[in-house]
Amino acid sequence: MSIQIIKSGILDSIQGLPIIGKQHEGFSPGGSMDLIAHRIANALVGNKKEAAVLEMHVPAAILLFTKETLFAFSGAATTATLDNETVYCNQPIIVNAGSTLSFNNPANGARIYVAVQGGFILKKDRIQKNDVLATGHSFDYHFEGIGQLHALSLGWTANTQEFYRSNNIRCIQGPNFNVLDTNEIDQFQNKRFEIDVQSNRMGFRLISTPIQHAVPTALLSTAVTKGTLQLTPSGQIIVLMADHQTTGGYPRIGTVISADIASLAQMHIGSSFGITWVSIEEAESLLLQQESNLQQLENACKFRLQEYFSEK
Amino acid sequence: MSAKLPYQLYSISDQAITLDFGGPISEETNDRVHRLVASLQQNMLPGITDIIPAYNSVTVVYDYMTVYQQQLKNKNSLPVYTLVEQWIENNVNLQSIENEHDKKEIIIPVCYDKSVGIDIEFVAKSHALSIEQVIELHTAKIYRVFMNGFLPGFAYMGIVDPAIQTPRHDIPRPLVTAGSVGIAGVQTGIYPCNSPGGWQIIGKTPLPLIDENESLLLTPGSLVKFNAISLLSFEKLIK
Repeated sequence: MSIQIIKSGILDSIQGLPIIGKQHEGFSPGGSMDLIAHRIANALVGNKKEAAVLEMHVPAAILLFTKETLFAFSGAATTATLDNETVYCNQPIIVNAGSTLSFNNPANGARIYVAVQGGFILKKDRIQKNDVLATGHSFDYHFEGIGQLHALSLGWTANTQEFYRSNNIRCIQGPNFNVLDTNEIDQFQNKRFEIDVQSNRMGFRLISTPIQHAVPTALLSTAVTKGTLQLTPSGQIIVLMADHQTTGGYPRIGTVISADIASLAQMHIGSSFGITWVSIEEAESLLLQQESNLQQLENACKFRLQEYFSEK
Repeated sequence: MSAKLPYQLYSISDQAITLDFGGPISEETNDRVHRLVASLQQNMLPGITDIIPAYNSVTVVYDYMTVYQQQLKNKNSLPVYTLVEQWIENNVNLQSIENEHDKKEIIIPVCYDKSVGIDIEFVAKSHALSIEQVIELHTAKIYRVFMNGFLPGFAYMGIVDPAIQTPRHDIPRPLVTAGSVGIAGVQTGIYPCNSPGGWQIIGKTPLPLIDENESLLLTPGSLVKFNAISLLSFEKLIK
Protein backbone atom coordinates (compact mmCIF):
# COMPACT_ATOMS: atom_id res chain seq x y z
CA MET A 1 0.00 0.00 0.00
CA SER A 2 2.05 2.84 -1.17
CA ILE A 3 2.46 5.72 -3.53
CA GLN A 4 5.44 5.43 -5.78
CA ILE A 5 7.12 8.39 -7.41
CA ILE A 6 7.41 7.33 -11.06
CA LYS A 7 8.98 10.62 -12.07
CA SER A 8 9.96 13.18 -9.47
CA GLY A 9 8.80 16.77 -9.70
CA ILE A 10 10.80 19.88 -9.02
CA LEU A 11 10.50 19.62 -5.22
CA ASP A 12 8.28 16.96 -3.65
CA SER A 13 8.26 16.31 0.09
CA ILE A 14 6.09 14.93 2.86
CA GLN A 15 4.93 17.68 5.20
CA GLY A 16 2.96 17.93 8.40
CA LEU A 17 1.74 20.83 10.49
CA PRO A 18 4.53 23.10 11.78
CA ILE A 19 6.40 21.73 14.78
CA ILE A 20 5.79 24.25 17.48
CA GLY A 21 7.69 24.84 20.68
CA LYS A 22 11.23 24.11 19.46
CA GLN A 23 12.11 27.44 17.92
CA HIS A 24 13.96 28.46 21.09
CA GLU A 25 16.43 25.63 20.37
CA GLY A 26 16.98 26.79 16.82
CA PHE A 27 14.54 24.40 15.13
CA SER A 28 12.52 25.97 12.37
CA PRO A 29 8.79 25.12 12.64
CA GLY A 30 8.69 23.84 9.05
CA GLY A 31 5.49 22.14 7.89
CA SER A 32 3.35 22.68 4.81
CA MET A 33 3.86 26.06 3.15
CA ASP A 34 0.12 26.38 2.48
CA LEU A 35 -1.57 25.17 5.64
CA ILE A 36 -5.04 25.88 4.28
CA ALA A 37 -4.55 23.49 1.38
CA HIS A 38 -2.97 21.00 3.79
CA ARG A 39 -6.08 21.05 5.95
CA ILE A 40 -8.56 20.99 3.07
CA ALA A 41 -6.82 18.02 1.39
CA ASN A 42 -6.97 16.13 4.67
CA ALA A 43 -10.58 17.10 5.35
CA LEU A 44 -11.65 15.90 1.89
CA VAL A 45 -10.51 12.35 2.68
CA GLY A 46 -11.68 12.35 6.30
CA ASN A 47 -8.27 12.76 7.93
CA LYS A 48 -7.40 14.77 11.00
CA LYS A 49 -5.64 18.00 10.11
CA GLU A 50 -2.38 16.69 11.61
CA ALA A 51 -2.05 13.94 8.98
CA ALA A 52 1.02 14.25 6.77
CA VAL A 53 0.45 15.23 3.15
CA LEU A 54 2.53 15.23 -0.02
CA GLU A 55 3.60 18.77 -0.95
CA MET A 56 4.63 19.28 -4.56
CA HIS A 57 5.91 22.32 -6.37
CA VAL A 58 5.03 22.71 -10.02
CA PRO A 59 5.91 20.78 -12.16
CA ALA A 60 4.75 18.02 -9.84
CA ALA A 61 5.67 14.35 -9.63
CA ILE A 62 3.94 11.52 -11.47
CA LEU A 63 2.52 9.09 -8.92
CA LEU A 64 1.55 5.43 -8.92
CA PHE A 65 -0.94 4.07 -6.38
CA THR A 66 -0.22 0.42 -5.52
CA LYS A 67 -3.53 -0.11 -3.72
CA GLU A 68 -6.95 1.44 -4.03
CA THR A 69 -7.62 4.36 -1.75
CA LEU A 70 -9.48 7.60 -1.35
CA PHE A 71 -7.36 10.64 -2.11
CA ALA A 72 -7.70 14.36 -2.82
CA PHE A 73 -5.48 17.20 -3.94
CA SER A 74 -5.79 20.85 -3.04
CA GLY A 75 -3.83 24.09 -3.18
CA ALA A 76 -2.95 25.18 -6.71
CA ALA A 77 -6.03 25.29 -8.95
CA THR A 78 -5.24 22.39 -11.23
CA THR A 79 -6.51 19.26 -12.87
CA ALA A 80 -4.76 15.93 -13.11
CA THR A 81 -4.97 12.88 -15.31
CA LEU A 82 -5.75 9.64 -13.51
CA ASP A 83 -5.01 6.94 -16.06
CA ASN A 84 -7.15 8.38 -18.87
CA GLU A 85 -9.66 10.37 -16.85
CA THR A 86 -9.43 14.03 -15.90
CA VAL A 87 -9.80 14.62 -12.17
CA TYR A 88 -10.18 17.92 -10.36
CA CYS A 89 -8.68 19.56 -7.31
CA ASN A 90 -10.68 19.86 -4.08
CA GLN A 91 -12.66 16.66 -4.69
CA PRO A 92 -12.44 13.33 -2.88
CA ILE A 93 -11.47 10.75 -5.48
CA ILE A 94 -11.41 6.95 -5.32
CA VAL A 95 -8.43 5.48 -7.08
CA ASN A 96 -7.88 1.87 -8.18
CA ALA A 97 -4.72 -0.07 -7.50
CA GLY A 98 -2.15 0.42 -10.24
CA SER A 99 -3.46 3.81 -11.32
CA THR A 100 -1.11 6.57 -12.40
CA LEU A 101 -1.69 10.22 -11.55
CA SER A 102 -0.04 13.09 -13.38
CA PHE A 103 -0.76 16.76 -12.85
CA ASN A 104 -1.47 19.42 -15.42
CA ASN A 105 -0.09 22.94 -15.16
CA PRO A 106 -2.20 24.91 -12.73
CA ALA A 107 -4.15 27.98 -13.81
CA ASN A 108 -3.38 29.50 -10.42
CA GLY A 109 -1.07 28.61 -7.60
CA ALA A 110 2.35 27.10 -7.11
CA ARG A 111 1.96 24.19 -4.71
CA ILE A 112 -0.19 21.05 -4.78
CA TYR A 113 -1.07 19.02 -1.69
CA VAL A 114 -2.09 15.36 -1.88
CA ALA A 115 -3.76 13.58 1.03
CA VAL A 116 -4.75 9.91 1.20
CA GLN A 117 -7.35 8.48 3.52
CA GLY A 118 -5.72 7.40 6.78
CA GLY A 119 -2.62 9.43 6.09
CA PHE A 120 0.91 8.53 5.08
CA ILE A 121 3.03 6.34 7.30
CA LEU A 122 6.33 7.93 8.18
CA LYS A 123 9.22 5.72 9.18
CA LYS A 124 12.42 6.91 10.72
CA ASP A 125 14.53 4.70 8.49
CA ARG A 126 12.64 5.48 5.31
CA ILE A 127 10.70 8.59 4.45
CA GLN A 128 10.63 11.37 7.01
CA LYS A 129 8.99 14.72 6.98
CA ASN A 130 10.71 17.30 4.81
CA ASP A 131 12.80 14.71 2.92
CA VAL A 132 13.00 15.62 -0.72
CA LEU A 133 11.57 12.73 -2.70
CA ALA A 134 13.19 11.30 -5.79
CA THR A 135 12.10 9.05 -8.61
CA GLY A 136 11.74 5.49 -7.29
CA HIS A 137 10.88 6.57 -3.78
CA SER A 138 7.73 5.10 -2.37
CA PHE A 139 5.91 5.77 0.84
CA ASP A 140 3.19 3.82 2.52
CA TYR A 141 -0.28 4.86 3.47
CA HIS A 142 -2.84 3.37 5.76
CA PHE A 143 -5.50 1.42 3.97
CA GLU A 144 -8.90 1.25 5.53
CA GLY A 145 -10.52 -0.93 2.93
CA ILE A 146 -12.95 0.80 0.68
CA GLY A 147 -14.26 -2.43 -0.77
CA GLN A 148 -16.36 -2.19 -3.89
CA LEU A 149 -15.41 0.85 -5.88
CA HIS A 150 -18.35 3.04 -6.78
CA ALA A 151 -17.09 6.17 -8.33
CA LEU A 152 -14.04 7.95 -9.52
CA SER A 153 -15.03 11.23 -7.95
CA LEU A 154 -17.45 11.33 -5.07
CA GLY A 155 -19.14 14.08 -6.99
CA TRP A 156 -18.69 17.21 -4.96
CA THR A 157 -16.12 19.97 -4.77
CA ALA A 158 -14.94 22.11 -1.88
CA ASN A 159 -14.96 25.78 -2.76
CA THR A 160 -11.63 27.16 -1.66
CA GLN A 161 -11.52 30.41 -3.62
CA GLU A 162 -12.44 32.60 -0.67
CA PHE A 163 -9.23 31.58 1.11
CA TYR A 164 -6.86 33.00 -1.48
CA ARG A 165 -6.02 36.45 -2.78
CA SER A 166 -3.50 37.22 -5.48
CA ASN A 167 -3.03 40.93 -5.96
CA ASN A 168 -2.01 42.14 -2.57
CA ILE A 169 -0.79 40.74 0.69
CA ARG A 170 -1.72 42.30 4.00
CA CYS A 171 0.96 42.94 6.61
CA ILE A 172 1.30 44.52 10.02
CA GLN A 173 4.13 46.99 10.54
CA GLY A 174 7.22 45.69 12.29
CA PRO A 175 9.44 47.06 15.06
CA ASN A 176 11.93 48.58 12.58
CA PHE A 177 9.36 50.11 10.24
CA ASN A 178 10.79 53.51 11.17
CA VAL A 179 14.02 52.85 9.22
CA LEU A 180 12.06 53.57 6.01
CA ASP A 181 12.39 57.07 4.53
CA THR A 182 9.21 59.15 4.84
CA ASN A 183 8.86 59.18 1.04
CA GLU A 184 8.95 55.39 1.03
CA ILE A 185 6.27 55.21 3.71
CA ASP A 186 4.01 57.53 1.68
CA GLN A 187 4.58 55.59 -1.55
CA PHE A 188 4.76 52.10 -0.11
CA GLN A 189 1.25 51.04 -1.01
CA ASN A 190 1.98 51.78 -4.69
CA LYS A 191 5.03 49.55 -4.85
CA ARG A 192 4.98 46.13 -6.51
CA PHE A 193 7.05 43.21 -5.32
CA GLU A 194 8.08 40.38 -7.62
CA ILE A 195 9.04 36.95 -6.31
CA ASP A 196 12.64 36.27 -7.31
CA VAL A 197 13.90 32.90 -8.60
CA GLN A 198 16.08 32.61 -5.51
CA SER A 199 13.04 31.80 -3.41
CA ASN A 200 12.39 28.57 -1.59
CA ARG A 201 10.73 27.05 1.47
CA MET A 202 13.02 29.13 3.72
CA GLY A 203 12.07 32.47 2.29
CA PHE A 204 10.97 34.48 -0.73
CA ARG A 205 13.28 37.18 -2.04
CA LEU A 206 11.25 40.08 -3.39
CA ILE A 207 12.38 42.40 -6.16
CA SER A 208 11.21 46.01 -6.17
CA THR A 209 12.72 49.45 -6.70
CA PRO A 210 15.20 49.54 -3.80
CA ILE A 211 13.58 50.70 -0.59
CA GLN A 212 15.25 53.88 0.67
CA HIS A 213 16.04 53.54 4.33
CA ALA A 214 18.28 54.71 7.12
CA VAL A 215 21.06 52.31 8.03
CA PRO A 216 20.08 51.14 11.49
CA THR A 217 22.60 50.84 14.26
CA ALA A 218 23.66 47.20 14.46
CA LEU A 219 20.68 45.13 15.55
CA LEU A 220 21.15 42.18 17.86
CA SER A 221 19.71 38.88 16.71
CA THR A 222 16.20 38.29 17.96
CA ALA A 223 13.48 35.80 17.15
CA VAL A 224 11.78 36.03 13.77
CA THR A 225 8.57 34.37 12.60
CA LYS A 226 6.97 33.06 9.44
CA GLY A 227 5.98 36.07 7.35
CA THR A 228 8.63 38.44 8.71
CA LEU A 229 9.67 41.06 6.12
CA GLN A 230 13.43 41.45 6.55
CA LEU A 231 15.01 44.48 4.88
CA THR A 232 18.46 43.64 3.50
CA PRO A 233 21.17 46.35 3.17
CA SER A 234 20.47 46.62 -0.58
CA GLY A 235 16.92 47.77 0.15
CA GLN A 236 15.23 44.52 -0.91
CA ILE A 237 12.87 42.42 1.18
CA ILE A 238 13.18 38.76 2.15
CA VAL A 239 9.92 37.26 3.46
CA LEU A 240 10.49 34.34 5.80
CA MET A 241 8.51 31.20 4.99
CA ALA A 242 7.98 27.75 6.58
CA ASP A 243 11.63 26.65 6.92
CA HIS A 244 12.88 30.04 8.11
CA GLN A 245 15.85 30.54 10.42
CA THR A 246 14.70 31.09 13.98
CA THR A 247 16.58 34.32 14.67
CA GLY A 248 17.71 37.18 12.53
CA GLY A 249 19.51 40.51 12.71
CA TYR A 250 18.08 42.39 9.70
CA PRO A 251 15.61 45.24 10.28
CA ARG A 252 12.08 43.82 10.45
CA ILE A 253 9.81 46.27 8.69
CA GLY A 254 6.65 44.17 8.88
CA THR A 255 5.06 40.73 8.94
CA VAL A 256 2.56 39.07 6.63
CA ILE A 257 -0.67 38.46 8.57
CA SER A 258 -1.37 34.80 9.35
CA ALA A 259 -4.51 34.85 7.20
CA ASP A 260 -2.47 35.71 4.07
CA ILE A 261 0.46 33.29 4.42
CA ALA A 262 -1.28 30.61 2.35
CA SER A 263 -1.97 33.11 -0.44
CA LEU A 264 1.67 34.11 -0.51
CA ALA A 265 2.74 30.44 -0.47
CA GLN A 266 0.64 29.88 -3.61
CA MET A 267 2.35 32.67 -5.58
CA HIS A 268 4.90 31.40 -8.03
CA ILE A 269 8.25 32.79 -9.00
CA GLY A 270 7.87 35.84 -11.23
CA SER A 271 4.45 36.86 -9.98
CA SER A 272 4.09 40.18 -8.22
CA PHE A 273 1.90 41.73 -5.58
CA GLY A 274 1.43 44.88 -3.48
CA ILE A 275 1.64 45.20 0.29
CA THR A 276 -1.23 46.67 2.29
CA TRP A 277 -0.64 47.64 5.91
CA VAL A 278 -3.33 46.62 8.36
CA SER A 279 -3.62 46.98 12.12
CA ILE A 280 -3.07 44.01 14.38
CA GLU A 281 -6.75 44.18 15.34
CA GLU A 282 -7.67 43.72 11.66
CA ALA A 283 -5.15 40.89 11.35
CA GLU A 284 -6.79 39.15 14.29
CA SER A 285 -10.32 39.48 12.97
CA LEU A 286 -9.27 38.30 9.49
CA LEU A 287 -7.62 35.24 11.03
CA LEU A 288 -10.68 34.51 13.15
CA GLN A 289 -12.98 34.79 10.12
CA GLN A 290 -10.72 32.55 8.04
CA GLU A 291 -10.42 29.95 10.77
CA SER A 292 -14.18 29.82 11.22
CA ASN A 293 -14.75 29.44 7.46
CA LEU A 294 -12.11 26.74 7.32
CA GLN A 295 -13.63 24.84 10.22
CA GLN A 296 -17.03 25.07 8.53
CA LEU A 297 -15.56 23.60 5.37
CA GLU A 298 -13.83 20.83 7.35
CA ASN A 299 -17.13 19.96 9.03
CA ALA A 300 -18.95 19.96 5.71
CA CYS A 301 -16.37 17.54 4.29
CA LYS A 302 -16.77 15.25 7.27
CA PHE A 303 -20.54 15.27 6.89
CA ARG A 304 -20.49 14.60 3.14
CA LEU A 305 -18.03 11.73 3.55
CA GLN A 306 -20.11 10.12 6.28
CA GLU A 307 -23.18 10.49 4.13
CA TYR A 308 -21.47 8.94 1.13
CA PHE A 309 -20.09 5.94 2.96
CA SER A 310 -23.30 5.25 4.89
CA GLU A 311 -25.31 5.15 1.67
CA LYS A 312 -22.93 2.73 0.06
CA MET B 1 18.66 43.14 42.41
CA SER B 2 19.36 45.85 39.90
CA ALA B 3 17.02 48.71 39.15
CA LYS B 4 14.25 48.13 36.62
CA LEU B 5 15.41 48.31 33.05
CA PRO B 6 13.24 50.06 30.52
CA TYR B 7 11.79 47.82 27.83
CA GLN B 8 9.72 47.90 24.66
CA LEU B 9 6.86 45.56 23.93
CA TYR B 10 5.77 44.99 20.33
CA SER B 11 4.01 42.47 18.10
CA ILE B 12 6.27 40.84 15.51
CA SER B 13 3.30 38.99 14.02
CA ASP B 14 -0.38 38.47 14.87
CA GLN B 15 0.78 35.42 16.86
CA ALA B 16 4.07 36.59 18.45
CA ILE B 17 5.10 39.39 20.80
CA THR B 18 8.62 40.50 21.71
CA LEU B 19 9.73 42.17 24.91
CA ASP B 20 12.94 44.01 24.13
CA PHE B 21 15.21 45.34 26.89
CA GLY B 22 17.40 47.12 24.29
CA GLY B 23 21.06 47.96 24.71
CA PRO B 24 24.20 46.10 23.64
CA ILE B 25 25.15 42.49 24.42
CA SER B 26 25.61 42.29 28.17
CA GLU B 27 25.49 39.53 30.73
CA GLU B 28 23.29 41.62 33.02
CA THR B 29 20.59 42.15 30.38
CA ASN B 30 20.81 38.50 29.36
CA ASP B 31 20.25 37.51 33.01
CA ARG B 32 17.06 39.58 32.93
CA VAL B 33 16.05 37.74 29.77
CA HIS B 34 16.48 34.33 31.37
CA ARG B 35 14.75 35.39 34.59
CA LEU B 36 11.79 36.56 32.52
CA VAL B 37 11.75 33.27 30.59
CA ALA B 38 11.76 31.31 33.88
CA SER B 39 8.96 33.45 35.26
CA LEU B 40 6.85 33.03 32.10
CA GLN B 41 7.41 29.27 32.14
CA GLN B 42 6.21 29.09 35.75
CA ASN B 43 3.07 31.07 35.01
CA MET B 44 2.15 29.56 31.66
CA LEU B 45 -0.91 30.81 29.83
CA PRO B 46 -2.94 28.40 27.66
CA GLY B 47 -2.11 28.94 24.00
CA ILE B 48 1.53 29.94 24.48
CA THR B 49 3.47 27.70 22.11
CA ASP B 50 7.07 28.90 22.48
CA ILE B 51 9.19 31.28 24.54
CA ILE B 52 12.33 32.31 22.71
CA PRO B 53 15.13 34.07 24.58
CA ALA B 54 17.65 36.17 22.66
CA TYR B 55 20.50 38.46 23.77
CA ASN B 56 18.31 41.22 25.14
CA SER B 57 14.79 40.17 24.24
CA VAL B 58 12.18 37.49 24.84
CA THR B 59 9.70 36.50 22.15
CA VAL B 60 6.47 34.75 23.03
CA VAL B 61 4.77 32.77 20.27
CA TYR B 62 1.10 31.93 20.77
CA ASP B 63 -1.73 30.16 19.02
CA TYR B 64 -4.29 32.85 18.31
CA MET B 65 -7.30 30.52 18.36
CA THR B 66 -6.43 28.97 21.74
CA VAL B 67 -5.97 32.35 23.42
CA TYR B 68 -9.15 33.57 21.72
CA GLN B 69 -11.10 30.64 23.22
CA GLN B 70 -9.83 31.69 26.66
CA GLN B 71 -11.02 35.23 26.01
CA LEU B 72 -14.46 33.92 25.07
CA LYS B 73 -14.64 31.87 28.26
CA ASN B 74 -13.71 34.89 30.34
CA LYS B 75 -16.19 37.04 28.41
CA ASN B 76 -13.33 39.35 27.55
CA SER B 77 -13.68 41.24 24.28
CA LEU B 78 -10.22 42.82 24.17
CA PRO B 79 -7.98 41.87 21.24
CA VAL B 80 -6.04 38.68 21.89
CA TYR B 81 -2.61 40.35 21.67
CA THR B 82 -3.44 42.66 24.57
CA LEU B 83 -4.03 39.67 26.84
CA VAL B 84 -0.64 38.18 25.94
CA GLU B 85 1.03 41.57 26.39
CA GLN B 86 -0.52 41.92 29.80
CA TRP B 87 0.70 38.48 30.81
CA ILE B 88 4.26 39.30 29.73
CA GLU B 89 4.20 42.63 31.55
CA ASN B 90 2.92 41.03 34.73
CA ASN B 91 5.87 38.67 34.61
CA VAL B 92 8.50 41.28 33.83
CA ASN B 93 7.32 43.20 36.85
CA LEU B 94 7.36 40.12 39.05
CA GLN B 95 10.97 39.12 38.54
CA SER B 96 11.07 37.61 42.00
CA ILE B 97 12.69 34.41 40.86
CA GLU B 98 16.38 34.10 41.46
CA ASN B 99 18.69 33.57 38.59
CA GLU B 100 18.26 29.86 38.07
CA HIS B 101 20.00 29.17 34.80
CA ASP B 102 22.28 26.21 35.09
CA LYS B 103 25.90 26.97 35.64
CA LYS B 104 27.35 23.68 34.47
CA GLU B 105 30.65 24.22 32.73
CA ILE B 106 31.13 22.34 29.49
CA ILE B 107 34.63 21.72 28.14
CA ILE B 108 34.79 21.69 24.37
CA PRO B 109 37.92 20.33 22.65
CA VAL B 110 38.93 22.46 19.67
CA CYS B 111 41.61 21.88 17.08
CA TYR B 112 42.98 25.29 16.03
CA ASP B 113 45.14 23.91 13.18
CA LYS B 114 45.12 26.10 10.05
CA SER B 115 43.75 23.20 8.01
CA VAL B 116 40.45 23.31 9.92
CA GLY B 117 40.65 26.82 11.42
CA ILE B 118 40.73 28.33 7.98
CA ASP B 119 40.53 31.97 9.12
CA ILE B 120 42.83 31.80 12.16
CA GLU B 121 45.76 33.20 10.23
CA PHE B 122 43.65 36.12 9.03
CA VAL B 123 42.36 36.79 12.56
CA ALA B 124 45.93 36.72 13.93
CA LYS B 125 47.25 39.03 11.20
CA SER B 126 44.45 41.56 11.53
CA HIS B 127 45.34 42.01 15.21
CA ALA B 128 49.14 41.68 14.76
CA LEU B 129 49.12 38.57 16.92
CA SER B 130 50.63 35.14 16.50
CA ILE B 131 48.32 32.15 15.96
CA GLU B 132 49.39 30.86 19.39
CA GLN B 133 48.27 34.13 20.98
CA VAL B 134 44.86 33.88 19.29
CA ILE B 135 44.48 30.33 20.65
CA GLU B 136 45.55 31.47 24.09
CA LEU B 137 43.06 34.35 24.13
CA HIS B 138 40.19 32.23 22.79
CA THR B 139 40.74 29.42 25.31
CA ALA B 140 41.40 31.72 28.30
CA LYS B 141 37.82 32.81 28.86
CA ILE B 142 34.75 31.06 30.14
CA TYR B 143 31.93 31.94 27.78
CA ARG B 144 28.25 31.98 28.49
CA VAL B 145 25.58 30.81 26.08
CA PHE B 146 23.33 33.83 25.54
CA MET B 147 20.83 32.16 23.25
CA ASN B 148 20.18 29.41 20.68
CA GLY B 149 19.15 30.23 17.16
CA PHE B 150 20.16 30.35 13.50
CA LEU B 151 20.48 26.53 13.19
CA PRO B 152 19.24 23.68 15.42
CA GLY B 153 21.71 23.56 18.30
CA PHE B 154 23.68 26.67 17.34
CA ALA B 155 24.64 28.60 20.49
CA TYR B 156 25.55 32.28 20.51
CA MET B 157 28.38 32.65 23.04
CA GLY B 158 30.42 35.56 24.34
CA ILE B 159 32.00 37.77 25.21
CA VAL B 160 35.13 37.37 23.06
CA ASP B 161 38.31 39.12 24.24
CA PRO B 162 38.53 42.51 22.48
CA ALA B 163 42.06 41.62 21.33
CA ILE B 164 40.68 38.98 18.92
CA GLN B 165 37.21 40.32 18.09
CA THR B 166 36.89 40.20 14.30
CA PRO B 167 33.90 41.16 12.15
CA ARG B 168 32.24 38.48 10.05
CA HIS B 169 33.06 38.10 6.34
CA ASP B 170 31.24 40.58 4.09
CA ILE B 171 30.13 37.72 1.87
CA PRO B 172 29.23 34.49 3.69
CA ARG B 173 30.90 31.26 2.59
CA PRO B 174 28.50 28.92 0.82
CA LEU B 175 29.67 26.06 3.06
CA VAL B 176 30.99 25.98 6.61
CA THR B 177 31.40 22.40 7.86
CA ALA B 178 29.82 20.98 11.03
CA GLY B 179 31.94 21.52 14.13
CA SER B 180 33.60 24.70 12.86
CA VAL B 181 34.28 27.22 15.64
CA GLY B 182 33.91 30.83 14.63
CA ILE B 183 34.16 34.41 15.82
CA ALA B 184 31.89 37.30 14.81
CA GLY B 185 32.60 40.52 16.70
CA VAL B 186 31.99 39.90 20.40
CA GLN B 187 30.40 36.51 19.67
CA THR B 188 31.81 33.03 19.32
CA GLY B 189 29.90 29.96 18.17
CA ILE B 190 30.06 26.47 16.71
CA TYR B 191 28.28 25.35 13.55
CA PRO B 192 26.25 22.25 14.54
CA CYS B 193 25.83 21.15 10.92
CA ASN B 194 27.07 22.07 7.46
CA SER B 195 25.67 25.45 6.53
CA PRO B 196 26.43 28.65 4.68
CA GLY B 197 28.07 31.05 7.11
CA GLY B 198 29.98 34.30 7.50
CA TRP B 199 31.84 33.86 10.78
CA GLN B 200 35.66 33.80 10.99
CA ILE B 201 36.50 30.13 11.39
CA ILE B 202 39.38 29.63 13.84
CA GLY B 203 39.05 25.95 14.70
CA LYS B 204 36.95 22.82 14.74
CA THR B 205 35.53 20.56 17.45
CA PRO B 206 34.96 16.81 17.07
CA LEU B 207 32.10 17.04 19.60
CA PRO B 208 28.54 16.76 18.25
CA LEU B 209 26.29 19.61 19.44
CA ILE B 210 23.04 17.78 18.91
CA ASP B 211 22.30 14.10 19.42
CA GLU B 212 20.00 11.75 17.54
CA ASN B 213 17.13 12.59 19.90
CA GLU B 214 17.61 16.23 19.00
CA SER B 215 18.74 17.18 22.49
CA LEU B 216 21.23 20.03 22.60
CA LEU B 217 24.66 20.15 24.23
CA LEU B 218 24.59 23.93 24.66
CA THR B 219 21.55 25.79 25.94
CA PRO B 220 21.09 29.32 27.28
CA GLY B 221 22.98 29.72 30.54
CA SER B 222 25.54 26.98 29.83
CA LEU B 223 29.14 27.98 30.57
CA VAL B 224 31.68 26.93 28.00
CA LYS B 225 35.45 26.57 28.04
CA PHE B 226 37.42 25.70 24.92
CA ASN B 227 40.34 23.32 25.25
CA ALA B 228 42.99 23.28 22.49
CA ILE B 229 43.79 19.84 21.02
CA SER B 230 46.26 18.77 18.35
CA LEU B 231 45.31 17.88 14.80
CA LEU B 232 46.31 14.28 15.59
CA SER B 233 43.91 13.91 18.51
CA PHE B 234 41.21 15.75 16.56
CA GLU B 235 41.50 13.19 13.77
CA LYS B 236 41.42 10.36 16.29
CA LEU B 237 38.33 11.74 17.99
CA ILE B 238 36.48 12.30 14.75
CA LYS B 239 36.80 8.58 13.88
